[in-house]
Amino acid sequence: MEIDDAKGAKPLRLAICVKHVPTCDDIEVDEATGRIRRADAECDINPCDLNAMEMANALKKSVADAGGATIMAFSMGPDGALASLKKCLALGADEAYLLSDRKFAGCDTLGTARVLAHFLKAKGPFDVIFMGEMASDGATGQVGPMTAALLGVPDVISVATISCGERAGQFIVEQHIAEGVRRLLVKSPMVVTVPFGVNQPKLPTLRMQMRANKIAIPVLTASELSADELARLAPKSIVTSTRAIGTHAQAELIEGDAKAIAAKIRELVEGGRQHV
Amino acid sequence: MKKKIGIIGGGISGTALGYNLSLYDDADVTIYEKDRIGCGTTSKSAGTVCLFDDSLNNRYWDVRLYGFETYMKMEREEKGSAGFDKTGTLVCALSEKDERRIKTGIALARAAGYTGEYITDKERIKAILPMLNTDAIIGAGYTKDDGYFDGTMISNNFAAKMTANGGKIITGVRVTAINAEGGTAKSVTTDAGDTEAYDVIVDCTGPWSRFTGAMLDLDVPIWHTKAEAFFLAPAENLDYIFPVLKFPAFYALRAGNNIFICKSHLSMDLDNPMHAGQWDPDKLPERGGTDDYFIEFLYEQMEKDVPGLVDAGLSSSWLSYRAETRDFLPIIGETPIKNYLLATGYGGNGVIEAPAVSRDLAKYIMRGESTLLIEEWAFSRLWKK
Repeated sequence: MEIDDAKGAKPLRLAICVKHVPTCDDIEVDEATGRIRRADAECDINPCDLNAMEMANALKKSVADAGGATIMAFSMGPDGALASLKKCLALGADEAYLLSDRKFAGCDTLGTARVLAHFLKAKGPFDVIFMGEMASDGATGQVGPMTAALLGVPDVISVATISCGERAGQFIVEQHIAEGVRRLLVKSPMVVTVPFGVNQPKLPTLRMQMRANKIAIPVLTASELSADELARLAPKSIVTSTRAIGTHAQAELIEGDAKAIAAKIRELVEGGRQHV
Repeated sequence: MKKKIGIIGGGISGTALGYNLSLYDDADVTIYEKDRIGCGTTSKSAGTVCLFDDSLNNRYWDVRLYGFETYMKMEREEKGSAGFDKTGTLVCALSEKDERRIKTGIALARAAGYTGEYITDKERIKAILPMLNTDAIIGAGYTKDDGYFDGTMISNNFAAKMTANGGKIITGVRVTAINAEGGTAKSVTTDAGDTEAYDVIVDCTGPWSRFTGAMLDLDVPIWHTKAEAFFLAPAENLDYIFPVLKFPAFYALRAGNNIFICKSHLSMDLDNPMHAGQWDPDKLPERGGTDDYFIEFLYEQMEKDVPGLVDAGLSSSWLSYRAETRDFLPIIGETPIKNYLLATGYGGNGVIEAPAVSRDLAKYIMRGESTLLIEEWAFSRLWKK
């Protein structure tokens, strides 16, 4: 990828890759196949992808008076993923692309990274590519680093903040590590993966949602990949089963009139204090 | 010998009817609810029971008053038990026709001892709701006395009162068959494998009524209109009481720190496939499911009338189906199948209408005495059309 070397003169080009996932309270495992049932599940944008989007927006805002920035959103998945892309547009992305084809359907994490890398190259160059650190359904955390490796660019995981450095093409990246926060100076292009909860994602406004509804989202298909690239999408790993873990939390229904319920709550709270 | 009544549906319609029937000592009442009490369409109701607006024609203003006072009695018995939030209501008039209707409603509210005034001073209207644009408004009716309730809490309250009176509630069980012999409904069968005989069976399943009626080959003329609701998080802190806001095309109310906003049910066109159709309510998602057209509608309305909400955050949304008839009034009472009755088709007015309808229908079932409401909202009016 080329590096834009004129920060301030040329707008930053930012990309974000998001996944459309079953909502947390709607994940079910098909006992027969051992796979997550996605077809009937209610889906939404992967939670930490919203943190990534917020970070991309913050970077865009920080350069508003210095050349500005554009954000391009990508999602690989079936038509339902359009909803997550639309959310990105409502949150401030300028363009969005759905990467959708039956030939992508069986991809493992490496195949997904290959597809993303292909289209990021095709639509690039990008200064920074944002991704959520891991999907709430698969939870592998592999796609971001794999995409970076395939693009031949640095990958910074667990990113808390990103801002422009003193020199063009340099970014100051703060990264969560076990001991605290590490500050890095990273030369673009790069992939950053963003964990859940590092910032407070804003809500799309009615005005922005209205704007998003008017932006067409092109669908990019496998026809744009070479035969060699398609052959490499064959999965190297197969999920053989997924097992739901039963919760160990015990819920107790508190019944009675308001006074009885209040007394029970007080008893539980005071009992809890004694355990502190 | 007690009269056995089986009610299908445990929303506001079924529980209000169950409670009213349980007040008769010769009634033996059972409610079947496939999920939990008040968790279907009732749970997605805004619960507004305003003393005057256009949700229900002033011809039936007593129905509105009876509903309001029923819930206020619940609140007096146990504060909060009907989920009442006394925000008052601001009803905006965009035409002289609106103005006449609002003024009539105010007169009726005042006759019943409540406050109400029609305001034409736009500064005063803005003082009540600062984020409003009053350019298109010719006046507004305002009362401090009403607000909105919680349909699920009310349903559970009715259910508790009914069981205290000896009624029975079966939840988590779906009625799979309504059995008839010689044109008379006789019993219900559930997916638990039980069959129970009843003297009277009442369909209170609202948007499910087409499916319920189909068990008896009865075509219940219900359409589903989309109740697309959004929760908006205003950019500014609301440091004032946000009243229930009624415009002819939409209504809004405060829900915690958000504003709940929904298209009014009378603005729906049953012949517009974007507004209405006949769908399967079991396939509704818990959240989301709203249409792009609704965002456009909402944006246009807010930009014109409530600009303070255009840059509000969209915190969540949902879609539910209202059960509407062609004349937007419910279907109450007898059907062509003997002993099979309806209390359905409330549209957006279930919380408003269920108390008065249930009072009258319970009397009809137990004593055979009809009322004006039972006659005017009878199934037969729709056959004629």
